[in-house]
Amino acid sequence: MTLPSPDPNARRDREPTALEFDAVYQAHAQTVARWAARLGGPGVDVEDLTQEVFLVADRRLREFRQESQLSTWLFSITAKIVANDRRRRQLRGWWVRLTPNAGGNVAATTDTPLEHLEKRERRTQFYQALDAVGERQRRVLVLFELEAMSIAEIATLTGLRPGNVRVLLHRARAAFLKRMTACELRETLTRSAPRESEEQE
Amino acid sequence: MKSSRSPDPTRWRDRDADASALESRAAVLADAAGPVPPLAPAALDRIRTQVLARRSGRRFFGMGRLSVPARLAFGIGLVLVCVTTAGGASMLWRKLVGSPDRSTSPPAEKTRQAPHRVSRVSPALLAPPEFQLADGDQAKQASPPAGAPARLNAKPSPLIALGPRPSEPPEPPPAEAPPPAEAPLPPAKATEARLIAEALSDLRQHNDARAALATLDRYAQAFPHGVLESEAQHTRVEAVIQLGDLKTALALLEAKAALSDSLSPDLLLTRAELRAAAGRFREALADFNKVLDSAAGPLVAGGDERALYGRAVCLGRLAQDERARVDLVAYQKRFPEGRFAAEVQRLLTGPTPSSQHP
Repeated sequence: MTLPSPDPNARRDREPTALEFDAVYQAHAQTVARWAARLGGPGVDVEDLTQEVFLVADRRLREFRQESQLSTWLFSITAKIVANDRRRRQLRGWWVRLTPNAGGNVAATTDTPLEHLEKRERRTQFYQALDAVGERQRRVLVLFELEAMSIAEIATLTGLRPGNVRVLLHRARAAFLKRMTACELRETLTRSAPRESEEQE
Repeated sequence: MKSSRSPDPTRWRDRDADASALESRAAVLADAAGPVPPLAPAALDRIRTQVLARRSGRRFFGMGRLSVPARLAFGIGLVLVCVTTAGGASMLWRKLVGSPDRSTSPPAEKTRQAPHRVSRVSPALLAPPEFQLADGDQAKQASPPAGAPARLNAKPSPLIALGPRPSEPPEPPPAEAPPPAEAPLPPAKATEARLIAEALSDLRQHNDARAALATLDRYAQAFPHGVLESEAQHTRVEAVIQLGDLKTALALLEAKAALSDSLSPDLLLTRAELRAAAGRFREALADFNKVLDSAAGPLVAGGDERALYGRAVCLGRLAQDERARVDLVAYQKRFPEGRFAAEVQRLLTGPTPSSQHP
């Protein structure tokens, strides 16, 4: 997936104005924030990523030739920025050995801390399993399973053909289920170990 | 385009009961992702302001139109120009000023610098700072500087209300102590109640916990020992929980419990849940017991339900399956339509509560 190539003629003619940016921002800010939260998973700073996306969008708005839909263009920017952010977080986690900080901005306001705990654990498991899935497959899986988009809608948004989307989804699901099983097994083993030691005490 | 006409595959969450166990578990995990709450209007405004500010910065320097290699070349060139200018200036300085007095200048410099080295702290810093706050200026002082980026301002430290407050003005010397009538009055336009109401409005109506924390920080600075301090604490904990920072929320509550003797029933219940969420199930169990034994006093609506479910969870995590099951059954009888009913049903139908989540 590549961004639309800049048009040198259009570049000089169409100077972005605050009004243009505002229109794009008003129409798509919440959608971009939702994509960022979905693709990034627990621990992602949605506000920060949304800001980054619109910084790029603002800078390149005059290069957008409207050959594709605006949402497709914005999604490609979002996906790249989220992927970079995930890489940065993984690297940071590797260095600092931070435990994954789940919860974050996707927490519902009415949840009690216990509900936080349950949802956080499941959400963490979901995104742990999702980490085994390649970047393009991950996007398709998130859009299909979490955003409940149809294959045609995903194809439009990602700029892929519907057949390719189906193949990516099939492979993503297989990889996800495989990793999920492995994670469950590992968690069962780690949970049973301290319990046994408690019983011995 | 054969594939585009065929129906979409079924989502995990929409599968029938005869779906494989693996897919059912995947559906549970996908369900937990839940809906994403929309960004608060204040957050949207912050982002827009930041983007527009960066744009004006790009235009000012003219860097927005340059490609990356051009920017790199420009940067390197700028550094070279700076280095050359500095080198030339230093050579010129040595020629014009430095060379004739070089033999005598070092001792003179030493003598000039000596007093500075002895008195490491400037007298101005040793003198007590003067605080001349007019009415209404206190709130301005509490607010961040205008040039600071909004993203930094938006995430204040939640612990500021409990810790010492270094920004409080020092006490004046006893000889010049002003009479009690001249004590700084609260800002005219921002009374305690108004600030707390603003924080609650940010939190509950606009769903903007960061803005609520910023308001509470302003409150803490304006009213260090305010009458509504307890309400401020409660709101702060709620805001921190809404941000998902459960560790900080628990630290706030434990610090509050350490300072004052007892927590209100609601805060005790919240602390119990936070302790459970932190994996401290024994301490959480003690709190839940206290709440359910009515030792703590009456609870808010839904508090009993939360406490009963929470105790069952803790017992399950502590491998006390029989007692957990008793609580779960009691929950089902008392709250058949409760918010945890589905989860309780799932736990009761499973093998043992301790072998499942939660």
